[in-house]
Amino acid sequence: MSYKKIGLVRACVFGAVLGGAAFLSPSAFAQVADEIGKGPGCCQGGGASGANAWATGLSTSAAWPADPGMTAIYSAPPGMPTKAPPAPPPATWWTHGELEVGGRDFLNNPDKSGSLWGDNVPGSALPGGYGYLGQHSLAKYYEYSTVAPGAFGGTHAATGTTDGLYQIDLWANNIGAYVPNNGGSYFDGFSDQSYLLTASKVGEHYFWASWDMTPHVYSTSAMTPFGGVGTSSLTWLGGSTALPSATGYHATGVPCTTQIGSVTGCPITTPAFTTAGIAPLLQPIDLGIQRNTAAVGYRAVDQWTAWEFGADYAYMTRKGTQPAGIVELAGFMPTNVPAPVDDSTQNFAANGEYLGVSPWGQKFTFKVAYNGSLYRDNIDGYTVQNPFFPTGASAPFGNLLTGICYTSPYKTYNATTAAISATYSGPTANCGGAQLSTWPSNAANGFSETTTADLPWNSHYAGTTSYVMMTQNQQFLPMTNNPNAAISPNGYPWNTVGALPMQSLGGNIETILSNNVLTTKLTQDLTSKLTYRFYDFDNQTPRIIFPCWISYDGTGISYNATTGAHSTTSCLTAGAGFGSGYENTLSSLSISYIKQDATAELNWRPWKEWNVNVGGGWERYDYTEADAGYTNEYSVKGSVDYKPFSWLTARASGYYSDRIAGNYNYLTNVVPNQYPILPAFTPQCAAYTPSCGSWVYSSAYQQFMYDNRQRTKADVLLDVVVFPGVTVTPTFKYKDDYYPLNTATGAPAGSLAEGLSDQRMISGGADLVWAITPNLSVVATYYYEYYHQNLYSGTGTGAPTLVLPPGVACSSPPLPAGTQCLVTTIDNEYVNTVTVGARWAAIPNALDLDVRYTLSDGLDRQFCSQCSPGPQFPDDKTLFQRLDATATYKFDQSWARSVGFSGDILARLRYTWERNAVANWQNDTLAPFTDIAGLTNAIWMAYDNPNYNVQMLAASLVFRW
Amino acid sequence: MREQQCLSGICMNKLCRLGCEGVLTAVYGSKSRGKLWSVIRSCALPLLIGGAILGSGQSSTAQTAAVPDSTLANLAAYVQGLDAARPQAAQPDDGILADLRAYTGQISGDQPQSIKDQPRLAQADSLFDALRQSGQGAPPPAAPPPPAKTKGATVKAPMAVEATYVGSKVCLGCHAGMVGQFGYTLMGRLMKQGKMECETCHGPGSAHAKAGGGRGVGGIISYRANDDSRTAEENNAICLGCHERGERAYWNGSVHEERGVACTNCHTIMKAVSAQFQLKTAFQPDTCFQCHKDRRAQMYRPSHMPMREGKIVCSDCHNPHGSVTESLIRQDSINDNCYKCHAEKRGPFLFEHAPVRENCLNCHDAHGSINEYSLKMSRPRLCFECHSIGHGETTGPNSNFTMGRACQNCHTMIHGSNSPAGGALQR
Repeated sequence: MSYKKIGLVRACVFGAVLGGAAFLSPSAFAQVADEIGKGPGCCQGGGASGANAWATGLSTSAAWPADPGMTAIYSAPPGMPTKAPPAPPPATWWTHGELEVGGRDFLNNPDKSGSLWGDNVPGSALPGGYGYLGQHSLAKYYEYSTVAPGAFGGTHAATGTTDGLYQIDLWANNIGAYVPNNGGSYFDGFSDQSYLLTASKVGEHYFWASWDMTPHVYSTSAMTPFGGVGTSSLTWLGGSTALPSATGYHATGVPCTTQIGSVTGCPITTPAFTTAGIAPLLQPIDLGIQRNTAAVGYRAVDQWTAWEFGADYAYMTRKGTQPAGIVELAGFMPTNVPAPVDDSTQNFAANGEYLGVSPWGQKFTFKVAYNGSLYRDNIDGYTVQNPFFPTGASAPFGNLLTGICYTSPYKTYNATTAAISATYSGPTANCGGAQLSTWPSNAANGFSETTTADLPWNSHYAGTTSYVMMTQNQQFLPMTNNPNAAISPNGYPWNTVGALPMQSLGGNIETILSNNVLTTKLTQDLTSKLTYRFYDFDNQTPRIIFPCWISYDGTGISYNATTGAHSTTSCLTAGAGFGSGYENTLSSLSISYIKQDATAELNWRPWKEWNVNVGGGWERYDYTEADAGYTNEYSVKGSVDYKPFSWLTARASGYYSDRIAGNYNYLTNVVPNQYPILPAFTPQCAAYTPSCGSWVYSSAYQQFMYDNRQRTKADVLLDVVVFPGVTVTPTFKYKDDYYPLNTATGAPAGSLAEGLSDQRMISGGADLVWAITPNLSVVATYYYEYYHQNLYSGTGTGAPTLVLPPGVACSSPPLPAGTQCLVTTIDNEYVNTVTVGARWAAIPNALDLDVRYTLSDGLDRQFCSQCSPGPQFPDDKTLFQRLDATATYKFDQSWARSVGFSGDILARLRYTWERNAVANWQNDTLAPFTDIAGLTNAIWMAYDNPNYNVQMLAASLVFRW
Repeated sequence: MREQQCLSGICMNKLCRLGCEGVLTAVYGSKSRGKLWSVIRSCALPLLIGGAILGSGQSSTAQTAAVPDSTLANLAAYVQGLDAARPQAAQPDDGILADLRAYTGQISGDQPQSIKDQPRLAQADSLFDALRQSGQGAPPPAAPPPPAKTKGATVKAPMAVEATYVGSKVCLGCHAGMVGQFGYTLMGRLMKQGKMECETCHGPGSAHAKAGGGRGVGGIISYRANDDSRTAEENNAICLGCHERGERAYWNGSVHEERGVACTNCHTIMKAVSAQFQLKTAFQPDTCFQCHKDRRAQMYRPSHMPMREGKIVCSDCHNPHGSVTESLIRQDSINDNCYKCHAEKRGPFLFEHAPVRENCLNCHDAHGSINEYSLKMSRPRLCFECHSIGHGETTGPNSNFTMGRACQNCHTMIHGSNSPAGGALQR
């Protein structure tokens, strides 16, 4: 047998193995990977087709019986010496499809909500005494898909005419997954059913409609002491009984707080609610958002006028809850609450495109399009009752002994001397409730035109001009819900909308884009590309200045320190003797920028094996009300693609850019705008002065968005067919963003610069695909990723001036007066990802076995040179694993026919093991109520438990016709 | 449009007056066009797969003629066995086939009698083969001529093979088994409607048929990834003849075009593997992961968008055919892209957070992360990239600045606040 024959046989064998498409090429992996280890079929979550990372989904035409109409429909060529050509048969309707029905259940009975506190023994070694300690919940498992126990089904049904003119397809996936309120044994209320209908008259009309349900589950183990979850009013379930701070109360009812000056000797009483005391009030809730989307689309092709028209519309609703934080309920200790979500988004678009001949006789296209979007939030805001001071808002003014909510001016109590102060102090952040905003309703409307044209001299132009207007004008909430708030300059108290300078924002951002690409084939081998892009992000939203701005409901009170009387005059003119609970003058910012890009590139293809690109670019930002006035970035790049043989493809690219910031000055560009000085008003504390610097960010910071930057990127990819049927694809990537901070010339002069110093990513790996025999294929992949970040920050608002030796903590010894410490932190992330899979036709054309295992192992390690002790935070670890094993048996067709079914019947058994393990120091020890040192009075929902270990077995029958 | 109409055999308006023959010559490089309209509207069957399914690294009927019948028979039996599991296409009866073959011979009678020397694929289809051939010191049999090294070499130009259009019916004579599922696809349906032919994509086939077939033989265009007789640019030009509009408006000059990506690297034509868009894989991201392997790894990270669950796919955010924005983003800006699903974050807000307004990716890694909420860095370090305000820069755990949601324990409206009291993004 000649060598040619060997090659022929070999080629045919493997060509058949791989299904014929894209053999021995970079696409081989995709083809094989798509088959290996992904048992076909639906109902593993996902979109209507059922295709996702674990399943190829419901069958498409590739699995249907051959189309007999293709050969029958052709008429004989003119002049062909044949028998009289048969007339095309009349069109009839065919039907094909696949229906999968089955059931599934967990094998290991995983706990939906895990353990509330894991170890609920106070005094445990863990901080706070509570932690999950390896307990599981199903939140992360159900995060985006509801592959839940019970019956499931999916289908792809199609019909069409034999002449190809009409065809209708319907996909439905995971239609049995909805488990409404079944007592919480599995999962309540979330679903990921999905449906897609397409219908077309080929070459003329195309229509589609879809219905999709996508959950986003945050938690199935959260606990909250608030009622009214999902509404705009979260109420403390303890009624009028307060949850005292763990530091207790004086016998007089005064909390032993630092406001007294010293808690020494404070006769702490037993709090009415300790951690154990709050437990009966905690209610288990699921945190998550159900996102449902209905969408339709239509496209018409007018072959007579060369126009195409399209339109689509989508209506999406979101309902549920998501975690949010409140700071003001318990002396600046965080309170986690389930914020309500109830909104809708409508996206709609229409376009028309004309394809014609230009005056110079070459092809051109012209497209006009409109895109609109309406977002409507059904909840303008929500309130949260303060468990510590549930009735505080109604406490009498100035009555220290009867009021425990410092909404009003108060006298302090000295626990040591038992003396009550002579003068009044300002209100604190502790109030009867907090008022929080939600996302405001907004809208966007955009128009665009795109033109492409073939030009003389072998040139081609493509350009787009678009205009988008984003608006938002929802009525503001009042500044505060405190009825005793200071009087605004408008003469109304700040708890009314009338007190605001404007009742709504009148927000308006207009963007204009002009994008232009000109390619010219200079010679047969050489092509040039010139581009210019202009993007104007013009924020025309009016700036609103708030004199006497207040940030917390309990702080916005102007009062007389002597009498404790509440001021009834404008905060601007409260007069002598009146203290201020309000803060500074604050203005909103209308950040705008113009971005311009220009590039010039050459593409050289000297031989068909080579493809070389070189180019350079320029990018400029011009900012308004940002730290930097502008940036200029110059870049060069190049790439080489080399494909000398059918069995080898090599690709490599490199990129380097240097960005230079101009007029970088936070104090000049931002502060005067954000903290303006009103001529008629002398604030109690000017925000931009050093003594009130808490609202001004460190001027030493070099924000990475605007800062000088040197970026380097490199990519290499090889695709090698080592042996027939064996493809290896190694790949490597490198990216480094280096910010040349000058720590000697920060701002102000003499200080040290802060900010990102370096961000580096290195990754690489290889794929191996091996078609061992026509009936057995394996695939293995490994990928390693490394991320490194070097960051300088400070210990305070001002600019750092001191660099301590590594290992010497900023807090020890105490820093000299007037100095701040520069902190160096290094963060490293490592992720290893492995996938192995195999597909074996154990009984060809009857029994297929698929196995696939995936692992993703991540580690986040952080170092801090001036933190004590050692690394600032513990390591974070993540480990995701999934094993799928699927057996699909195809019954003999004769048997199928004997039971009255003319198509194929398959039985499928699928075992899935999926495990997620996360060790996260931030969440693992958080109980719903945490009284640990440093977190006194913090209320968490203990919601973040992404750990699960699920084994599921699914059995189904598949009917394919 | 001319290409579209000409190639599809549709000539319904004045545009066709511009000269379809010229168009076809430009696209295919064929010198034959005299019989264009007499045949292009009346053919029958896709050579498309041309080597796609039955073919392989070497292949098919052209070479069949060069091997003994016994080998052929064995091979045929073997391939039939492999294909037994697949649905078999209806075969035209032998009489029709005989007539077709005779007709093919007739219409190609004016062609060169032998075109066996036309370029074909390299014989070595793996590194192992290449090394073995090198070790044996024997040149690969029937190796293609070395590429021209002169500037402007014609090696990249379509092969100027004398060929005419024979119609799909002729193609069907040998390739009937390859169209079993094609009729269900959009292009297959167009073909059944007489709006395109096999040769619309594969070029005139008379020389190919005359030579007895074979991938690349007779100038037939196969589109196979390992067919190095043509470049991606040449093959893409044929696809773009009909598909340049719409999503492909920015294909010219796009990064994928510059890097020589072929349409067929991502799309498969002869059967519907994916539910939509004729993609090479059922799960769309797998098509992209052919090259973007880092994105595949990121998909498996604990914090991810619902990609691996199949709820979103790469093309929801990217237009692989080119776009007006960096990274092939579909919308005018990265943020505009995110607003499609996250319209609540569009604003404008009374109090904006500058990095959020500028670019969502300043904080998020949309492709997946080991940090919560797909953050590119865990909190509070993420926030420390821009802020140091005495909030736990040097503290460890057990701080209200670092535990739980860290900075967002208080600054919960980090994407912007519309509350008058939300200047610190805490309400």
